[in-house]
Amino acid sequence: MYNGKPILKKFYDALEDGKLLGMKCTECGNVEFYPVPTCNKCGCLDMEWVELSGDAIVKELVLVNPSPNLYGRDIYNGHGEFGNGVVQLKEGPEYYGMVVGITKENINDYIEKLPFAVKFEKFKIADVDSVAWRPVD
Amino acid sequence: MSNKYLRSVSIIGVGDIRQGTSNLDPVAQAKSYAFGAEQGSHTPELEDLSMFEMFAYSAQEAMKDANINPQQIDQLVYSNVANISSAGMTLGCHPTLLDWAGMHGKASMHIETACASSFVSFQSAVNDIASGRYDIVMVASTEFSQQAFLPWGRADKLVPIKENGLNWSVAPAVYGPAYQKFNGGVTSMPGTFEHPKSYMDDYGLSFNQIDETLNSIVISTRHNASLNPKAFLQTTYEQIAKEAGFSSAQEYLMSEKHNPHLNPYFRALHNCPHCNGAGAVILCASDIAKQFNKKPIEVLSTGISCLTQYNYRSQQRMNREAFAQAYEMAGVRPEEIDLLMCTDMMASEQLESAESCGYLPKGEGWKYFIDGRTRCDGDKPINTHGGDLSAGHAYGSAGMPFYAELVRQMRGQCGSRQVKNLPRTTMLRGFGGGHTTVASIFRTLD
Repeated sequence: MYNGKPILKKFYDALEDGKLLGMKCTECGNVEFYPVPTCNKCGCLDMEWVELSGDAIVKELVLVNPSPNLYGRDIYNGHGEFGNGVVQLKEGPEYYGMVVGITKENINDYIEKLPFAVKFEKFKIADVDSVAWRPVD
Repeated sequence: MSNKYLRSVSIIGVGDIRQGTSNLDPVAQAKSYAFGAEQGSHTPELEDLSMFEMFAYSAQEAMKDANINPQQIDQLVYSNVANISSAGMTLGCHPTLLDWAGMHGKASMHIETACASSFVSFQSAVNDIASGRYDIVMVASTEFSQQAFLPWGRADKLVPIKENGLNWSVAPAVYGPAYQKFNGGVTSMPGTFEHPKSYMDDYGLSFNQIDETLNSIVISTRHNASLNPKAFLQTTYEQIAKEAGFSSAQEYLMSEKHNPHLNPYFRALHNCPHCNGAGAVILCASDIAKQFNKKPIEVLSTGISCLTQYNYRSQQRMNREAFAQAYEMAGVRPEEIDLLMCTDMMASEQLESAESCGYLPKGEGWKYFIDGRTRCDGDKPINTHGGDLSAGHAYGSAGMPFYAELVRQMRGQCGSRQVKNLPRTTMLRGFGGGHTTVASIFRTLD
């Protein structure tokens, strides 16, 4: 059973150090990302921390050109356009992820290459390190 | 309206986490007689925990107690008051919480009825099972009443809610004070006096007698909390008084320096400490309950009454209505109640509720408190876990410690605070601002 120790703090602290953490089910081996303390595949209450490889593929992709006023402030710190992709981690989990290095000039090239490989990197959203993915090529 | 449930519903699992906050001083808070008060003390078990960890810990404890896999649960009914402002301005976080509980993709909803949220959520879950729609439902909550994480910030980095430009208000914010009429609301002490004043009017008590009564409620409740490792405040008033150089807890609590009057009737420590909390209860159809837990607790009835807080004695009126519904629906008489659990954001709620539901004799209840008979080792136990007054009050999660305690008491699992005679029938009266009162009767399933 989950021991009540901090999960978010450990995840955020590791992210600041450039590490990507998930949680792995001790029963069925399912990996949860973002980390949660209960397995959503088999319902097991015993999960363990696992450092993820940072390797993933992008399976779907759209271009996002965020309005700087969307949230009342430019949380992307002047970055401008990026990709919103369906990202599947090497360890299995799939989720919507931020794909950097995508522009209106190259978006169609990347869509033609789907699925394509990406690597994890940090990206600052507002003042907090967050997770982004960059094409390997 | 007191129609019976279409099928029987029982509790099969409870879970909670120690309540508290990383910095909250109850005297300073009560002195400010409003939400978002000055803060001071520390609950080490909660250090660096967000609302998500607190939720997950409680949910898993309830699952383990029920011996159930989360994927066998049909629905989550989630209660929370504050997440629009204390959880990063989040809307609709209940699907995220499903993932933390291993219930990805299940049905879920979020209920907010101020500090009655968890009691109303419980009623909703019972109704969903009683109707036949679901077999197993988890009621759960998590609440950060005094701290917040900021929009776009780390969810584990908490700041006092005042730093987010926030301050809680049940009463004036509904319309604004001009339209609503002046009333301080449920826990805004200067405006709240109806319990003690009406009791004094009805039964001829002096100011000193009502003061001693309310202090005694606070002392007994803290005694119970001192035996509960999950209570927020666990130091007895006897110990606090001794350390401050007083000969008794009563003397300490009559000190204007340590426990100042906020109006002619109430003192600072007659109010509850607001804190962070979380809890979970798992309910299921009684005909399958023993597959999971050998000691299910049946929910016999629920009465509910809501009134605006404009009117004098509104809490008394709601109590009468909710208790009457609960008794009629359950077919239970007041003398059958073995244990009373009761929201006590203010100490006087114990007195009013105990007499209103017939647990203590009308006009005589105050003597029971002064004589210590409502302590967990007394013959008329009330709030054996410490109540809101000492276990802490966590708004939308406020009911969860009450459910956990009544179930554990009825199973005989409370150790040094276990009541003398194993309770078979328990009354729970939950209350929240606005106002909402919920009365439920529980019985050990044969």
